[in-house]
Order: sequence, then C-alpha cells, then structure tokens
Amino acid sequence: MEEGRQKDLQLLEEIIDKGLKQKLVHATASRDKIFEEQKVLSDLRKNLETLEKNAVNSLKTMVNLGSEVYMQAEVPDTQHIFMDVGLGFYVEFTRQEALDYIAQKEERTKKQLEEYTGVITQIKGRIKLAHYQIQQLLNLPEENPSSSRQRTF
Amino acid sequence: MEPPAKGTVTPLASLFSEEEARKAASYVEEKIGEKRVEMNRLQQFVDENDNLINLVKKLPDQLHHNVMVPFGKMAFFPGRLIHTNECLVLLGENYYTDRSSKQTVDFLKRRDKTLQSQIHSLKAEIEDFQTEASFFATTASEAAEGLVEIREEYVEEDSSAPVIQSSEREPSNISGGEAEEGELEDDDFARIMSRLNELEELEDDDFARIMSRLNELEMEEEQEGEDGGDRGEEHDSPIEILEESQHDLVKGIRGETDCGRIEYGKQETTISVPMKTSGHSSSIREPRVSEPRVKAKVIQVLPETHPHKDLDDPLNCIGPMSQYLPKGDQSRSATAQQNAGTWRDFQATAAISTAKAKTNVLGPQKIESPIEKPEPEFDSTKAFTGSIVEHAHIQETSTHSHTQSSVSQPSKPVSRFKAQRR
Repeated sequence: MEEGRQKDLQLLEEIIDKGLKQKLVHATASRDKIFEEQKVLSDLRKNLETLEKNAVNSLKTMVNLGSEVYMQAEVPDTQHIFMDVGLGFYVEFTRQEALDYIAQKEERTKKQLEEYTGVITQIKGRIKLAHYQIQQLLNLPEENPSSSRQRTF
Repeated sequence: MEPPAKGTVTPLASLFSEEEARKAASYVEEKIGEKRVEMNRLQQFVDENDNLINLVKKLPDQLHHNVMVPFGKMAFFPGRLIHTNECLVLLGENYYTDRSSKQTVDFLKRRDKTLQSQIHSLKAEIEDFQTEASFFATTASEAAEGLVEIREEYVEEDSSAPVIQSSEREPSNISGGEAEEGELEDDDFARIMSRLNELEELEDDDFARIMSRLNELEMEEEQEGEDGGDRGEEHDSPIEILEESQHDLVKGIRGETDCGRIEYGKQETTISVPMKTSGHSSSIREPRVSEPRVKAKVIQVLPETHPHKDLDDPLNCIGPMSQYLPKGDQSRSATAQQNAGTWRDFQATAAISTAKAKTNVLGPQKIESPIEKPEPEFDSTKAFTGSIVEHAHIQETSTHSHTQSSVSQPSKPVSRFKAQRR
C-alpha cells in the first residue's frame, strides 16, 4: 500500500515537474526578450548621445533593401527621430526628447526584468521542492526511522 | 487446365508486419513535413527576391528617394536614398561588392535560378517520400486485411503442337496415361501429315499407275459385264490398293496416297477406278471374287497391314481399308464391315483428317464415320455421275458423303462378288 502510494505520488511529482519546467522555459524566454529590448535601448541611447556630443546633424548610412542588398542613404537632419513606443506606433521626437524617452523606457524595462526574474525564481524553487519530495518518498521505505528524520532536516 | 503447380503462399503480414509498415509510413511522413517546411522557406526567399528585383529596377528612376532610415531596431530617421544606381551586394562569406542596379538585378536573377533549382530538387524528394509513404500505408492496410502472396512456378506449355494437341496435352499432363495418348496422337498426326505430304508427292506417279491399272481393269470388267462395274470398281480399287499395299510399303504409301486421294482430293482415282474396274474386280482381284475371300483378304490384309503399320502405316491401311470397308459393307456382314470399318476408320481417320488425329485415339467410333466416308467414295465412283459428284462432295467433306453412299453400295458388291465368283 505504501509503496503504491509512493508510486502514485512519484508520478504526480513527475507531472508537476514537467509542468513546472515548462513554465520555467516560458518565463525564461520572455525575460530574454526583455533583455534584448533593454540592450537595443541602451545602444540607441549611446548613439544619440554620441550624436549629441559631436553635434552631428547629417549622416550617411547604408540601408538594407532586403536580402543583404544595401543602398546608400543620407540623413540630412538628425534632429527628428521616430521612436517605436509599442503597439505599432512611432512617435516623432527631437533628439533630446528621444533621449529622455529612452531613459524612461529603460527604467520600465528594468522593472519588467525584475518581475520576470522573480517569476523564474519562483518556478525554480517549486521544481526543487518537488525533487526533494520525490527523494523523500523514495528514501522512506528504504530508510530507517532514524535516517528519515535526518533527511527531513 | 494446368497441372497444380508448386507454389508458395505467404501472408503479406509475414513479409511486412503491419506495425512496422505503419511506423515506416509515419516516419516517411515526418520527413515529408520537414521537406515541406524547407520548401516553404525557400519559397519565401524566392518571393523576397522577386520583390527586391522590382525595387531595384524602380529605384534608379529617381535621383533621391525620401525614406525612413532605420536607426537600430526601434528608431527611424527621416532621410533620403541617394546614389540610387549603386548597390552594395553581399556575395557571401563577408564579401561585398558595389554593383549598378542593372548588375544587381542580374545578380538577383541568378540567385533566383539557384533557388528554383533547389526547390525542384526538394519537390522531387517530397514526391519520392510520398510514394514511399503511400506504399507503406497500402502495405500496412493489406497486411491488416490478411492479403496473401502466392507464387507459382511457371510451367511452359508445348506450343509446337496444334491447339488440339495442346488441349490434349493439358489433360494429359494431369493424367499420365492420357499424356501418352496425346503424345501418340501428336506423333501420329505429325507422321501422318508427313506421310500425306509424301503421298501427295508420289500421287502423281501413283496416279498414273493407278490410272493405267484401272484402265486395264475396266477393260476386263467390260469383258465380264457391267454388273459389278461399280462393285468391281470398288473392289478393284481396293484390291489394287490392297495388292499394292501388300507388296510395297510404297504401295502402302500409295495406299495412303490413294486413301488420301480418295479421301481428300484424288478421289478421281477412286472414281476412275471403280468406273474402269467394273470388270476388273472380278478378274483381278481374287479375293474380291468371293466376298468371303475378299473379306478374308480384307481381314487378313488388315491384320497384315496392321502389323506393318506403324503409325505411318495407318494411312496405308486406311487406303486399302477404306476400300475394304466398302467391300466389307458390300460383303454384308456388319461385323466384317465393322472390322474393316474399324480398321478403315482407324486409318481413314488418321489419313483423312488432321483433325481426326484425335479420333484415331478416340477409337473405332470415329473410325466408322470416316470409314463410311471412304466407302462412299468408292460407291460414288461406281455410279459415274453420282460418283463424280460425290467425289467432289467427298473431297470437300471427306467422310459424310461417303457414309451415305457406302451404305447403299454394300448390296451391289455382294452381287458382284457372287457374279464374279461364278
């Protein structure tokens, strides 16, 4: 009976493990996205700051037309920049406004990261707990009462 | 028809287990899915390439194009495309080259060709996989149904012999005894045919001889009287033939030829013979003189001739026999007739009809009919006009007419013999 129970419990724990692990994977993926966004924002900020420092108004660049075919492009005035604010909207900023915006966005990004990190941590903890319970169940029938007590510690 | 050939019966399930077949089918389908994904990717490249070609063609139309120049992933700068005729193209492996728009278009077209060839190969692969999957699926379903594979050894039939023979052989294959008979028939038939051919060749000579002989006989008959003309003719002809057959194997051939003639087309001789030898019979043929004698001779001859005969001889026998048959009929006793008839039939059948090769084996029954056929020939010869007609008729239909005529004749020969005996 006990063995049967143990087996059932073991199965349950395995199932939980799978679920938990999947959740973990999802959480990790979404956090990685946020990481990327954060990186992009930081790169943009750096570029704008560089432009500001050097008082660069126009610049030439190569535009990817598709399939790695580039064409020269010129930006005559770098004062205005269009920023992606989410949901498919692009807002026209001046360079300075853009920098402010980027700063704000970076903060929000950090918060998101922290949230996701917390979720991930939680999931990881649950997985560890499940493992531990499985171990206990397996060890109980083999253990002596004394050792079990030790294990619980 | 064919003998029970050795064969093996194997359930398809044993060769291809259903589960394995289904697994293989599913595996192949997975592969197909992968290939399809790959092909979609390639198709996307092709579409992108086409769009790019259009774009690059249009760009040189203007000096500058106002565009939004991306600055990273999240920002754009309003700007202009300049030097619209110049493109930097990635050749691969971090190699770039400046190209004009026209050159770029050519480059893109070449790239498109490569992509298309790749797509074609992928399509071919997918088709192969599909056929494979369908094969596995059908096999699995067949194995599930319990389809059975049967293999039999191929037994070639002897195609050299005519249909009859082959048909004979088929049953013979089944039963060994029959096989022998069939083979014999075939052999007999072959021999008979060859013999007939020989006879036909000799017929001319024989014909001349017979004609001369017949003339002589006729002379004699005329001297004796025309009573037994028909019979004499009948007798003569058979007698002649009988004598000839007795003396020579060649005669036998002649007999065959005669028979053949008589029976086939040269019943002219018979016609002539009976016509001529109305008187001949009595004079020439001693056996004929007395029916019993004749019969005896006939009978004797028959057995004699029979021993001579191989299968080839039957023709010979047939000749005289056919004549004998009329004699026999003439002489009266059904038994004699039957004997002669049987002999004749046997021979006649062999000689007369190729198709009757069977009949030889089949036996007397058939023989009788052919026997009658030759008989009528003789009978027909006796009655001049009737004979001629009958001969022609006989020639066409060898036996049938003969049978009828032969029946009528027996009476005449009897009297003739008696007359001759005197």
